[in-house]
Amino acid sequence: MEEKKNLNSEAEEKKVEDFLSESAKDTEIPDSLLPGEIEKKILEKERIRKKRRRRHILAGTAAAGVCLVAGISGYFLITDHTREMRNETSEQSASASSEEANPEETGPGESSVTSRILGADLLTTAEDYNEIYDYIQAEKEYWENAASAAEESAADGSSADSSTGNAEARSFDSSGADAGSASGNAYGTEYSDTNVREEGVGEGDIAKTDGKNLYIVNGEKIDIVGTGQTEMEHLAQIETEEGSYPSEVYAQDGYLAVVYTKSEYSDGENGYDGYYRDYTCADVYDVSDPEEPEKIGEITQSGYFNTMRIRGGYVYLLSSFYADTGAARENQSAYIPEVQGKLISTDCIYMPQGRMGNSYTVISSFDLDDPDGRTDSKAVFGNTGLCYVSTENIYITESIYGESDSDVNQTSIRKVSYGDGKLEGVGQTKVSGTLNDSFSIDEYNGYLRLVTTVTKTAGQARGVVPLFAPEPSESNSLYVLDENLEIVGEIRNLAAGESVYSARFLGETGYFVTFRQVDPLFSVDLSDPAAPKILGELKIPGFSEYLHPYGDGLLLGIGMDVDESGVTTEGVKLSMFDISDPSDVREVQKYVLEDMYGTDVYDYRSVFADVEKNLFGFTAYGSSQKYCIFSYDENSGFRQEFERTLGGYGSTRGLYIGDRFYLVSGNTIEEYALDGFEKVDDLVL
Amino acid sequence: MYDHEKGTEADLIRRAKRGDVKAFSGLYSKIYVDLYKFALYTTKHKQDAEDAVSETVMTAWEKLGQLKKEESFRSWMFTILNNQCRKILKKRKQEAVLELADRERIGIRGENGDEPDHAEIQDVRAAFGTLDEEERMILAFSVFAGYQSEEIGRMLECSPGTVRSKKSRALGKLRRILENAG
Repeated sequence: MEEKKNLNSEAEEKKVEDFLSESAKDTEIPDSLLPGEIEKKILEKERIRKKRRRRHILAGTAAAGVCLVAGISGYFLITDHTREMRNETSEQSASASSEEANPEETGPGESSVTSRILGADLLTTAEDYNEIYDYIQAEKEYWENAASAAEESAADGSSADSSTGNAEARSFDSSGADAGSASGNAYGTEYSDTNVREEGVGEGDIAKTDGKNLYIVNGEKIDIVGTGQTEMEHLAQIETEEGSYPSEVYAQDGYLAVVYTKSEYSDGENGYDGYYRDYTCADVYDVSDPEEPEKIGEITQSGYFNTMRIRGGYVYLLSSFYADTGAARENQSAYIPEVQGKLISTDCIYMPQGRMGNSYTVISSFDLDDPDGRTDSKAVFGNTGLCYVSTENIYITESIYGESDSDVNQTSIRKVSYGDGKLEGVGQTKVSGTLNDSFSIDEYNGYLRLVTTVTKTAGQARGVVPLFAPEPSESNSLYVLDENLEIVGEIRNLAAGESVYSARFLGETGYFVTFRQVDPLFSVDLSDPAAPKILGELKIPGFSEYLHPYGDGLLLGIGMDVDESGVTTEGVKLSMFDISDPSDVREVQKYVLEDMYGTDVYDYRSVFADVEKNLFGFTAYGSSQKYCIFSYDENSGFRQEFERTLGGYGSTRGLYIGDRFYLVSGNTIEEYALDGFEKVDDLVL
Repeated sequence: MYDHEKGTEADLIRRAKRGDVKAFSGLYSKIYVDLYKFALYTTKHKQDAEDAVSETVMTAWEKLGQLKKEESFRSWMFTILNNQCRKILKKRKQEAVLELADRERIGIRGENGDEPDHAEIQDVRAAFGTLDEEERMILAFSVFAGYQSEEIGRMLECSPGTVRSKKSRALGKLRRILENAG
């Protein structure tokens, strides 16, 4: 520090930075942060509070949820208690599953991967808040006992004589009007909508358009950008409450819904044992004058944001609320979710099978153009996780490991019908195996079809399972459930040793990809729900992580190319499958983006796909992050139409309005001519 | 058995997402020193830094599904850590327990800890502690996270140009303090 130089000279700055770096060189790292300690902490947490946040968040973020699968189950503590639960619960089966009649089935505790179904059940509502409190305590005790690996069983009080009572089964009577398709043309201009899970069910996203303006989630703010002119125009900025984190927006018919999660801090007794409580809020704005957005209403409910869906002008807001298991009985707001500041009444809380639980999925509906008007709210107690919303029903699923009535992992399914803003519980059940993502569950003609990866969880010694337990054996199952969630058809033990990487149900045919070394693309005939059958199995290297129908008889796969050893990925791979004959599916074209090691197709909303325009786009990761757009020709195959290296690591969306293509990444929007992708304008928000 | 040391990051992420704690720990082991340094320098408080990193790693484990497939784990972790540190700083402001913060300020060891003899290092740390929150964030991002101005700008919601000039100013400030001290 002797010489005096220009303070801002680069070399000098570098030197100060080096000093700073040097000064931190010998920083003592607290023992608690050493990787080994962190591992212990995670295992502990997984063991005791297994049902908490993680699975939910995994599942909650759209398709990002996915791989809950395998390895994890080996880490849980398995006690004999599992077995007792199984015996009890099987007695309560509302219906004998086809499995139980299966002569192959041996007694409980046998080691082969079996599928035992608990049976479908009606959704009953809570008697009172005390009943809920007891369930939460039962859940807590269960895990505490499991954690201490107590000799004595923890099954006290959890005899699973699940009540079947006042809830009524509901039939499929509402067909519902179409809420819009993959693209719209309000204002007479064609534009692209978010790539949604279910045609006809709208979804929020980080960038939306109504065909006129762009609505963009930009950090803690929402920006409205006009696209009417050649150059984009920043019209308005909406700031949400301080400390709130906008997740998504949805724009339609002059209204804009902004969904965010806010945390409210409650002081504890001495100011240090306070806690945060999360609320999910939807603010609705009138944006008929996009320069002067006007807030017209607000919905607030407990829990953090899971997803929202829009159909028939109604918004359905789903959040996940975790009960404070340490709360006193009289402190109801710590364990009963609220909507608009009021506790949800017991007749709107659906109780779980098994008499235990600590999480809820809270669902509220409201009219987009009258958010403070008639609303409906329900809380589905005992589940929160991946949600699939068909045009008529909301399915809330949760992966279950190790705790259940089965020696394999399971998925619980709770079904709530919806239409015109009304919500009503329909039923609940469990199936063996876990879902890869929301494309692994699909409703068609009243039937629910699922493809799951089944992993054995039992047969382990009591106590903590060693870290390096051999990988559990896996296989895959396909189920067809009727509208009461009774299994009517199934195929089991598919692709042993592999797990599902992607799936897509297209009407009466289902396609799914499993992977270990090669990529079998299975096609399944589902035309007879009671007798699904495998039509074909195409084996090619690599795997597809996302499948998208691409016009007549074609299915696009985006995934990874993998070498023969099944270990090294060789780049991002595009495959076009000819599915015109589902029993003879062929890969007709492929394309590998070398040196790229991943894509964001994990979140289907990040995929731009317009089959009519013959364009699809996504972000690929390599040494840098790139947005790529491709077209497809049956003779010449895939052709890259556009590539743009992106600056950071945020999410990117591509969409078009009229003849312009917009690339939204972080706080930057670039405008291109849709024809030829020549850059027209850019805007930094 | 899978070798967690040698796996590529993409592979480790995939395994971690499937619940492989060892894979996750493998990812974490490569960056935890930098994470802690970042937290220590921005919060200026050992316990807060420890809490911030601890909270970050548990959050990351829980939210791993939100990590874009094979997005840079490091960058993602720093994003979470940044939020944690800001939350802590904000809360601290609200609670105004600055006294405590000062007492446990970095560089000043506890009663049992030996005072290190790197006088210069102490100076740098003390000088760093005088910078304001935003300046500390910017420099910590640059030095410990290895971020470019664009990335820092995205984290702190300002333009790269602003970051560059603020960084310049902060470094200049640091230098002046060090010159006067030395």
